[in-house]
Amino acid sequence: MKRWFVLLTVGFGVLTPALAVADEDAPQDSAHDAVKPFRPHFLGDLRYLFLDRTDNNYFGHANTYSYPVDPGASGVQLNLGAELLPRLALLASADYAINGADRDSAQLRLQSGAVLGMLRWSVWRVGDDDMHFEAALQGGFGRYAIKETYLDPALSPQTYEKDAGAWGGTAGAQVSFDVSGFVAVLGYGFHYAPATIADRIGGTVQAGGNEISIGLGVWL
Amino acid sequence: MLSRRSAILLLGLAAPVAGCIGSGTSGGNSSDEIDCTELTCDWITVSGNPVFGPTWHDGDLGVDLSAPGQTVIELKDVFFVDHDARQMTLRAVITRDPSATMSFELDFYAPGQGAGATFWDRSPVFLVTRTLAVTQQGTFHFSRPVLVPSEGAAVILRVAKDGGGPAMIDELELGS
Repeated sequence: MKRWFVLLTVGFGVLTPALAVADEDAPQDSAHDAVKPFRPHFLGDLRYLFLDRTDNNYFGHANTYSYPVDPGASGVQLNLGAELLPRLALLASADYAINGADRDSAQLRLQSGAVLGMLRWSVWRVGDDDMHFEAALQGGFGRYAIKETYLDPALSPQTYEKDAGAWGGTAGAQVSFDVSGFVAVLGYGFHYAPATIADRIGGTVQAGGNEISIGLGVWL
Repeated sequence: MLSRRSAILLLGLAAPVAGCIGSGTSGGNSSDEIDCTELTCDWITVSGNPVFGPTWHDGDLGVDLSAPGQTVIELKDVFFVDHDARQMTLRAVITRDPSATMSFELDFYAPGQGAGATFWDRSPVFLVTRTLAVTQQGTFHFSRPVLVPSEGAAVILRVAKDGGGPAMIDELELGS
């Protein structure tokens, strides 16, 4: 967790001074991309995340044993970065999702997270710097982690923990709407993340899967 | 100290996360004659090497009958909830590999005329054996009705497993 935070901080620290220098003599007109000079932009958003984790019978087993949990987990996602070339942005992305189930006094929890470097390409943008709508494709690579905890205080004070980490990648798309630097965004992504937790009878669940995110941010 | 705005933001972030925790129950209740849903029952090993421990998860305890060869375990119970019930239901969560055979046998007894401290010491009268073969495979809910003889006052529930491959029982209950 601490390592993730350091990575995020360093990434942000490298990007921000470059933006500040480039921003000083940026024109303040509202011309379209094709005619106005380019200036870098700072990007940042915070999103609600719905992650449908990839599994192989793990959730089926859990449900049969009366833990009503499904592959869908909720979480948050933070994206920070900069559009350093026209329509091409470099970002650091961090996300965390959790779900689980209780059965009587037993508590089963699955948590997963990722720290990724992302490249985003705005394939279509209409409007100007003050207000625009855009569709973008994005991909990235980074570190994924998943952790399972199980506790049943009625049977044992022991907390059973399993975790796994792996490098993985993501690809996806998003649409966003910007008004005066404030952005609303809706995204989809697939995460290939082989960090895997296995149960005792052959079921597995991975840190990755299909993700839908929605949130608010800035484009400055 | 968090400002009000920070607190609202944190609550906003926590709300969707907290909404993803399902809640279930093992299903056992006080009217069950046998209820092994929350705690493991007092099984007696008749043959083989059963493991009374983890099932699908290290922390979820049950009976693991996966050791190769034949394994038989049994549980004795004197009916105490409803002596008039003529039909009960045997329920369990089972994991069974196709290479393992599994069945339940229920021996019903009527009270005996002998002397002794417990029902079983007083020479109970054997009535009938009901056999329930487990034909499903994989991980599944098992549920089967069991007819109780009219004079049935106690039961010995036996689980027999043969062959290799994983075989586990959890959440077993016999009740209405």
